[in-house]
Amino acid sequence: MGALPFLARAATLGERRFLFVFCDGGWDPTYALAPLFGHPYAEMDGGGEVATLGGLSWVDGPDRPAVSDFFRAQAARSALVHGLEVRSVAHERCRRILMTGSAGEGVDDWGAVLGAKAAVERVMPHLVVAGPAFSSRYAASVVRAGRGEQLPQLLGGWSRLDSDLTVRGPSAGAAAAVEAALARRLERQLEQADAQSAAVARGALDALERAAVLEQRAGELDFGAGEDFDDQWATAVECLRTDLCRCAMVRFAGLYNLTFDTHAANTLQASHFELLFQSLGRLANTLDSTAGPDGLALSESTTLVVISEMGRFPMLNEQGGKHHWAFTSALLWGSGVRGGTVVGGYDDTMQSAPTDLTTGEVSAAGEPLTAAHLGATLLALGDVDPGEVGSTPPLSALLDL
Amino acid sequence: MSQALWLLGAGCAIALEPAPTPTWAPGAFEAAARAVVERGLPDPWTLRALYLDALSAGDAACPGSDDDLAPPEVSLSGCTSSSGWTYAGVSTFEETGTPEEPDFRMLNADFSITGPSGEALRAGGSFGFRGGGQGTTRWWEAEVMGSWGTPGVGGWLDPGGGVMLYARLTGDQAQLDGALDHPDTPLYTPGLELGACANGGADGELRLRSPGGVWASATLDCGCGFLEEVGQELGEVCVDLGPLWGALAGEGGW
Amino acid sequence: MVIAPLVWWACAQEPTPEPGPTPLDAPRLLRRASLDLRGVLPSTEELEQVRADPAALDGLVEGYLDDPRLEERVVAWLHERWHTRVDGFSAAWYDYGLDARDEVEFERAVGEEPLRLAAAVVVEDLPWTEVVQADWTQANTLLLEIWPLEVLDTGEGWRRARWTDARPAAGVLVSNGLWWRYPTDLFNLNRGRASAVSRLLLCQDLLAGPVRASDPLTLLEGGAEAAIREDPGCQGCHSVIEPLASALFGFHWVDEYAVEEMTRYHPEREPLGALLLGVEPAFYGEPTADLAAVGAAVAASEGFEACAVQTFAEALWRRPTGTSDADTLHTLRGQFRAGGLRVRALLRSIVSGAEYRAGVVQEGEALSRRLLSPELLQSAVEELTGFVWTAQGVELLDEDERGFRTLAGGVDGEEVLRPQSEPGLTWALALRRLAEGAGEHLARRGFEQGEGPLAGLGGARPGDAAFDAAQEELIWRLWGRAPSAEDLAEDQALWEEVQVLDGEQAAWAALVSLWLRDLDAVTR
Repeated sequence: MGALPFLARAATLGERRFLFVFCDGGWDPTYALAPLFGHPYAEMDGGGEVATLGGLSWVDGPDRPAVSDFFRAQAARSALVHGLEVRSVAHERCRRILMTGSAGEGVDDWGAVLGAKAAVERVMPHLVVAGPAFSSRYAASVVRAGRGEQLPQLLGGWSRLDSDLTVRGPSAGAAAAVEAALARRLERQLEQADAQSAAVARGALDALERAAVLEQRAGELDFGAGEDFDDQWATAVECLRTDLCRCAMVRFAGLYNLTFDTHAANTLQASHFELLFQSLGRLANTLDSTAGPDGLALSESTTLVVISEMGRFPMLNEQGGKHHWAFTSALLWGSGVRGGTVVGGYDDTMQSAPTDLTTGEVSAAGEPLTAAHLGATLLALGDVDPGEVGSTPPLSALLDL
Repeated sequence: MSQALWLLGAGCAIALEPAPTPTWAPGAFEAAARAVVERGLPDPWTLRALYLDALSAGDAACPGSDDDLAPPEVSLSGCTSSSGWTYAGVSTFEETGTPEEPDFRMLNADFSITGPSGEALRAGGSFGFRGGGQGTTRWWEAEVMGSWGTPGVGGWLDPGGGVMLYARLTGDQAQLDGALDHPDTPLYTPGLELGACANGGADGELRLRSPGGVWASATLDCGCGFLEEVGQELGEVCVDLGPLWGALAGEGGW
Repeated sequence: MVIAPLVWWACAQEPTPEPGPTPLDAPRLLRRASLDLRGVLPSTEELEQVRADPAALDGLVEGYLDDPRLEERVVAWLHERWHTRVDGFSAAWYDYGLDARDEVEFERAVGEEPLRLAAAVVVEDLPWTEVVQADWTQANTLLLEIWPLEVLDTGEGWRRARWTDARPAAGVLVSNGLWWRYPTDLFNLNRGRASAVSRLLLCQDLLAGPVRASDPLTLLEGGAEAAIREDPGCQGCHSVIEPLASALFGFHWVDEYAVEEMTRYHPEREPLGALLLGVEPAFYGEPTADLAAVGAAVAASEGFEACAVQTFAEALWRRPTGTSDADTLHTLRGQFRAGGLRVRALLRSIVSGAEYRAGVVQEGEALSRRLLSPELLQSAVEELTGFVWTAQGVELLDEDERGFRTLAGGVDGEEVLRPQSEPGLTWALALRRLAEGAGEHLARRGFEQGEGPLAGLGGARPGDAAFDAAQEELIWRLWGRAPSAEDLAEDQALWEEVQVLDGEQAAWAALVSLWLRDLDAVTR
């Protein structure tokens, strides 16, 4: 096998990174992000009051002080997007739409696109530590860590793998010889009869090279993420720090993994948001105190994208819960984000209020916000042409490029 | 396809089958209804007693709670008490009433409790009862939902049945609605009124399902009404729901 | 229905000529068909037969369609659309008092129940409509123990069985496995299941369109139920969803985690749909007395027939179909209909088509190289080498809690809904470990136990007749082509390098692992 191009190409200055936090189940923005007190339909069953710092307003409510702790510390680097339409009320479909802008199956999520379109090729362009991922065209850019310890097990070889039939695994020398022979063979097969065959050969060769790099660095990494949210983002941060990935996805499932899907007992939202923002506070501090590949704090180059697949119906049901709602909010923090910014809002019917994309303010001359606006914004932050996934323009109001 | 009638739907065409012929006869309906009534209705008091009796055979370590089964006291695979009873699953039981004004509720049940001599109670669902007053002011409301079974007792507690019944009594009248899985003749009623008729008959719609899966209904007026199936009127039926009324209006309440 | 022999012959033997890609050569095409239809590589003899006489291919493929291993392939294909072979349900092994070691067997049994029913319809050459009309299902020993089923035949493995809990005859529409995978709750009220019926069996995704009320105030003031009934923006989809959902209340559970509720059908709850949804059961406007009537209506719908064609075409073409495929799908549909809606006839038509046989593709959507899915890698490698990658009995390429199904490009049915079509990092890693394990196992069998294609090769070196024969036979079987001179030179260099390092057994293990990872081995 020849030189390892990924090591040689590991120059990273200027390229923004992304850490996606997927909050499972569909959160109720009125508990933390959207202070809709006085709204004719929004039932603010979590109580509290509006808190404001700089241009940012949020809900300062009981049982979730971590929300205000986070925003008081991070308002200058945080932006909120309200009224994002996800066009569905089915979890699976909402996830897909929020993360790709489309309801179809053959689509790529923002992480996959950003990973694949990075100026710098990385071993794991988009690392899915946990949580959803949608990929089609850029499937090869998405690396799943597995629900258990699968990725480190595969990297660790037969000393870490299990098999009912005994396998010792090849010696290091034999393994290296096989890898080199296979790489030569794949390089020959690049000269295939048609483009698709060549693409498969190129993909296989590329995967081989990336696997080799990751294998060499496996000892530095702890992929033991599991279900613990802090462990998950620690893994993601480590891979961002070492420039092994450009994007990473982690999943927050709430108290006792109950998720935000509170069809009954909506007050559980308070507990979920409290735990989430406690952890986000630690994550922000970690990104501040961790040097990235360029020597600067990772927070200088990393955008945190905190999302949930849908919102919740404005009013309580008979079980004290709230059903699904096709409009939601999102939190962006960190690199490239114009802090203290609120973009969009909810109209009198709790749908997306027309928004001026350049100011972020609700305006009759503006347009309702959709997941595609969020995606275009993230691509713009990542120096990827938003036209890559459609014609929807970015929310320039929150870009600080 | 014997009937060449096709409807164009959204992207599909449907062939209409010929109208089915009725499967019920009035006498069969009456006999089936009688069998269902004689088997009895699931009642929350019996379930409460079975559940609390079963839990009383536990000890401090298993299931670890006087009225609930829940992790971590009960592991996913269950635990066995010193008296040989095994508890597996989850439950949340609340009782806040008094003998005069009973109020208890099994909020959720998903468990299997097994005694030393065999299975005692398997459950998935909920039940509850609350009531008060006396004489003409007496009232209660109750429900039994889900699947409840214990072998060897017979009647409605035979394992394998399902129930979604809600009932309430005010003074000398009761209402019952919901569904009950009798092994041969599942029953459904959107609302039966009992106690209002001088002859003891019931008002309201009663539906029964044949073993072949066909539903027939009779809308009763003081116990009698016309039997209908697939839009065809099949004759008058009279259904004696006296035992049902007796059970609901009895001293202990349903 | 009996198909006139002349019509059948015409459909099977004279497919409409299609312009298109250059087909694979006969041995590679045989290999593709063998993997697709049997899950294993063709034998050396079969390959030799088509090398000598390419016209022999059709006869061999015809035999593959009769091969009992087709059942496993149908299960795998349908999982890619129905997504029922998931790694967990809301009821688990312990709910039935099973042993923890039975966990995966339990999950697979549940998830495969509807798939096995459909696969039995295919293997037994019944009309595909049986899938939604059968008064039977398929069950293995475990399901027969825990579910209300009576077995209808003898034998082992998956057997024909009948429900004993009064559920209507409606095939997979009354299968526990389908509704465990697509549960509902007291809020959703079977609407998600109705949508699943449409998506899985009619290939119509009712959730693809936007959810948007025409009058938001109807939604806010009357709630979702009012909007669904009254708002034109909601009615577009819900006029289909609600009546179909209303027909599914025999599977309405009071508690969606209670195994007592989930195990049995609840006939007494059938009328609840009309009460809770406010609409009588119907399928696209046609009233349905029960689920058997829904099954009959589904079976009679054109969407069902078209969806079957689309499903099996995508399974064999290994790509989603699109508008450019309309003509081909239309032709296939005609052949499917002429074949009495027998899937084996449809498979025969697909496999004989230019799209399936594509070898070199200069334009169009056809794939010339189709990645082997994890279960196909496993079955092919196992048959060739005897190596099956399991841990504590769990097939690691078929599971995701501890295994590598999605990492190797497979579908978990929850987050990954389509098979991966191009290599990726974890695909490469999983493949590498599988190849290492299989290579080592084959070499051990040959050198330590005197079994298999490497038996008796001790002392043989490249250039020796025995060495060269074993090399040629293995590569021929594995790739369906002869190695090039460059391949052979590379093999020799590798063998000699590892032989010096670790001995000849290790050198053979290395060679086999290399061959297993070759592009011609991992694609078809």
